[in-house]
Amino acid sequence: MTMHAAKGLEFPVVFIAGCEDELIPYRRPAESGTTNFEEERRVFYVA
Amino acid sequence: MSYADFAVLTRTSDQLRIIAEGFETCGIPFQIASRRRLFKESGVAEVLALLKVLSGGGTYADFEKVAAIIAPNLGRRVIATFKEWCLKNRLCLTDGLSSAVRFPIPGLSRNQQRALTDFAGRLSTIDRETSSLTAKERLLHLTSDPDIAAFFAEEKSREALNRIVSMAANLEANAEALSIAAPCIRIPMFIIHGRRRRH
Repeated sequence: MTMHAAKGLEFPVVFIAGCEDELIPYRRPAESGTTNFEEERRVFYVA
Repeated sequence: MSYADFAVLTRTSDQLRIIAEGFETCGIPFQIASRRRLFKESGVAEVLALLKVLSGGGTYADFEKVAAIIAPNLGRRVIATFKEWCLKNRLCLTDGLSSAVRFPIPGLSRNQQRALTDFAGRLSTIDRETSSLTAKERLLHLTSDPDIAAFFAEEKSREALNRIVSMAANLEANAEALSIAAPCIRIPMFIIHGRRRRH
């Protein structure tokens, strides 16, 4: 599931796939490479 | 530990497809938990559209979905003419339907207008019959309608419906769940409870 969908859920073991540049933190191609770091930080914290 | 104890989280839903392919290749059992997809499941999308229309928060896209199940003989042209008339007169869907009962719509024949008002009448009958029910009961009542039940003939659709029904029941039992639910779950759940919140 996506990190957003995981909000409020718990699992004994969690893998966060794709911890690499442009995926986490995610960079939107449409916005010429801008990243909302604060929002991405919050999403990662939830995960 | 079982496979169900492991969660793989990704940032975007597109990554899920790649991971699913990997699991399939390796023979690892998995389930993609995407609620967004659940709400788009055949039948579920139609029931949610009907709930939106009944709660007074329906859009014209919802109206088209509902018409396709409840009044398939209404015809695209009638729907398009009605929509155009509503937009021209700045009427939301609910006001448009109640006005269609009273005023003739230019471009529609008497029979076409009658079909439209019959449909509006059926919607208000359904609303009257179900407005006092709980969210779970309302969903079960709506899906017992033969026209809607036809959507849930397949196992996959029935499973999706059961999940929606249990989500509605859980939500009712524990309102706190709303605050922890992801936004994509919250929106359709508000739709289910739309009628109850309004009163």
